[in-house]
Parts: sequence; C-alpha cells; structure tokens
Amino acid sequence: MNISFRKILLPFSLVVALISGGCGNKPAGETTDNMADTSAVKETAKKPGEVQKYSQVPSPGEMFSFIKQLGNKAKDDVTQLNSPENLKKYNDNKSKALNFGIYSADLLFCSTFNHGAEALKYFVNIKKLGDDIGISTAINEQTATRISNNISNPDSLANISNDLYFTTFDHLESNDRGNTLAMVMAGGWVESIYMVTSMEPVYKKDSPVITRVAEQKYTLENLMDFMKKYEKDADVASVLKQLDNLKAEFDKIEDAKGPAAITVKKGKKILGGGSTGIAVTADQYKAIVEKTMAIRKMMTQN
Amino acid sequence: MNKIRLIILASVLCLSVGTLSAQSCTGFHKKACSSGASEGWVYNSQSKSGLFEAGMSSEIKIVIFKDFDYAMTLCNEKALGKGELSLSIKDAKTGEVIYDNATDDQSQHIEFTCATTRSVIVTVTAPGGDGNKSSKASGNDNKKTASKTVSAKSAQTVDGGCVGLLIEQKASSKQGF
Repeated sequence: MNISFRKILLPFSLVVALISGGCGNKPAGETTDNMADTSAVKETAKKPGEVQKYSQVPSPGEMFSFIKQLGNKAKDDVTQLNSPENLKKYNDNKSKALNFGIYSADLLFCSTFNHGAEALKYFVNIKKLGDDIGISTAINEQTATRISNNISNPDSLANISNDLYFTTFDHLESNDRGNTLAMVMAGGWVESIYMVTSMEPVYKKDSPVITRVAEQKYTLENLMDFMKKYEKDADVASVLKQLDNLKAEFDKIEDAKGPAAITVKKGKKILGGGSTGIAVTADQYKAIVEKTMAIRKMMTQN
Repeated sequence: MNKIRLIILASVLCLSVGTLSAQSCTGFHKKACSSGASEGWVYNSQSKSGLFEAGMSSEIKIVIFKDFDYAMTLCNEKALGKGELSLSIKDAKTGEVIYDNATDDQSQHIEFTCATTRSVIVTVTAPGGDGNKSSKASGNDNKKTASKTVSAKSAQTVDGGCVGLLIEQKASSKQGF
C-alpha cells in the first residue's frame, strides 16, 4: 500500500512542482524568477465596499524628458551625478536601496541627455547594488548588452533605462518589498530634483524648469503617502523625516487656483482651463534647492 | 501513520495547484490595455494594475502636468464578469469631481489636455457586487451586475480578476500659428 502511494504521489508531486516552477504562462520578456511567482498568492482580491488607496509617483525619467523637451540651455552636466566611485561607501541595506534609486535616476539622466558611455557605468553599479538588495533577477546581462549596443542612440537608451526602472519597480512591488521600493523611490526622486535644480540653481521668474520643480510638491506628497505605509521600518522612517523637512518648504508654495472641471474646446477635453498656475517665490526656491542638496548629501554620503 | 502522511501530501498538492492558478496582476495594464503608442503616446509610470473582486473600488492618486495630453485606458480580465469598469477623476485637494464615465457612456478610454498641474484621484470600480456603489458618483445604477462566471485560469482566485489602468502622455500640441 505504502509503495503504491509512493508510486502515484511522488511522480504527481514532481509534475506539480515542475508546472508550478517552470511553466507559468508569462509573456516573453517578463521576469520569471520564483519570487515573482510565489508573490501571486499574496495578491488577494478585496471585498466589495472596500476601497484601496494608492499614491503614484512619476519616474525620474519623466522629469528629465520634460526638461529635454524644453530644449533650453540646460547644463546636462554629468559631474553633478553621484560618482560611480562612491559605490564602495554603500554597505548597509538603507544606503544600498537609496543609492540604487539615485544611480537609477543617474542612468535615466545619462540616457535622456545622450551620455551613453556614462550610462554603462551607472548600469554596472545598479547591477551590483541590485544583487546586494536581492533584485538581481530584474536586472540581467541582456540589458547590459542592449545598453552597450545603443550607447550612441539616446532614444533607445532612454527606452531601455525606463524599462529597467519599471521592471525593478514591478519586481519590488510584486515581491511585497514595499519598504525597499519606498527607499528606491525616495533616492530616485531626490536625485531627479537635485539634478534639475542643479541646472537652474538660481531663481528666475517664469522659468519653466523652476515651475516644474515647484510642481513637485504634489509628487513629494504622493511619495510620502506611499512611504508612510512602511514607516514602521526604521530606515523608511528616517528618510521620511528628512523628506518631511523638505515638504515644509514645498508646502509654502501657493497651489494653482481655479476650477478643475473639464471643458471641451474645439472637440478637445481640457482639464482645469482658466486657472492660475503654481506660484513659487525666490526665497521658497532657494530653500528647496538647499534642503534638497542637504538630503542628497546625506543619502550619497558625499 | 501512512494515512496521515497521505493526507499531508494531498493537502500540500492541493495548495500547490491553488497557487498554480493564482496570478499576479503586476504589469497587467502593459499587456492587456491597448496602447496608443502609434499616435505618439508615451507610457506614464503612474499606471497601475491590481486584483479586483466584483464591485470593488481602488483610488489612485496621481499627478498630471500642465501642457500635457493624457490618455487613460481601462481593461480587465473576463474573469471579473460582465459589465464595464467605472472611472471617475476628482481633484485631490478639493474633492471636486472632474470626470465620471457614467456620464460618458461608460467609456473605458478618455483623452484630455491638462491646463494646470494638479494632483487628482482616479477611482476605478469593478462592475457588479453589492457594496460601495453608493459611495461612487451617481448615474451608475448597478445595471451591470457581474456574473460569477470565471475562466479556468482565474477560477481559484476568489472570483477576482486583474484590472489595469494604463496612463499615457504626450506634450500638448500648440494650436494656431
């Protein structure tokens, strides 16, 4: 009896194990590591009547693309980026996650502004930090090859870098690693603000770059909303405290005024037409620049 | 003793099969929501997917920027049942309802130009259920009650299905000379 059970159950177990581990019905290109597969059971549908709330944060790449679109004389100076040499300073989980985000933003910056050779250096660091914080499966050698092959093609490079950022984001999210994701996002957000304020360090009235920085009061709010879900984590809490200090400056900026309603003009839906834009003063901008620099300095240990 | 071992093994196998059919919705919007990339739209990272049960709502707070056009597209797995998803957009600060697809033929796609940067809350509600429709904007009278028919793929995912909100953007084209 015992033998017959073994005869039946063991092969059956093997078949199930093989199917579970190796035959997920995933489309080409999607990560197929085991962690991603097992995460599926954690995602449970909520009951009717429950409302789940999420706060989303635009990627650093979207900020850099906007700056590039302005076509202004932005100084896309790579010396402002966090030096790849600093990698050796990051030895604990907190600094690794934060600087994973910072280096990811730097990679997006290099890709957007056509610094292909620099981009590869940042990719190497992202790979190393990714290995250390357990997201190596999201960053593969194939991506390195694609970057190498597209060093002089900024559009493709930007696409590859954005894909990498989104894959990492999805990977951390689907593997229930919200605390790590919170710090990666914080690092990326701070670096993008730092880089953009470095392009326009002194206040100029009506500068679209400065207006864009001021508008980040909304993205900072969303970032902090997201991070607060994980504030029991001491590392997340300490970063939140730093960002709260910066938020105090952003909160001084006057919001846009006027109705948000959609109107239709020449067949096109316009949201919020007729309202005044966000207004930032020279003093407010100066304070934001200084506090961003201070937080970035702590994060990068420079 | 052998019977106990058999029961344990059988239980483990049953759980394995359950796990096998459960799915992650991460990135569902990238695969399932049709993209307007051919018309110059670019993926916006504030897009989101999740596992919904009939009648369930999610609020997604996003930031939309001045002088950009946005396209929002909803999609869902058939496992969720019949009926269209509800979509509303409200100002995050004032709560003012900006858009509700209940007044737009339950459209699953909206395009608009953003004239002022602001934070908005996008509420997506799965069809059916008997829960929170009262908290949603008026005009949706539960006529789209979802059937509990589910595909084999999702049969063991507590009657849930993936829902995706794909957000795309492009710089607004300036009108006139």
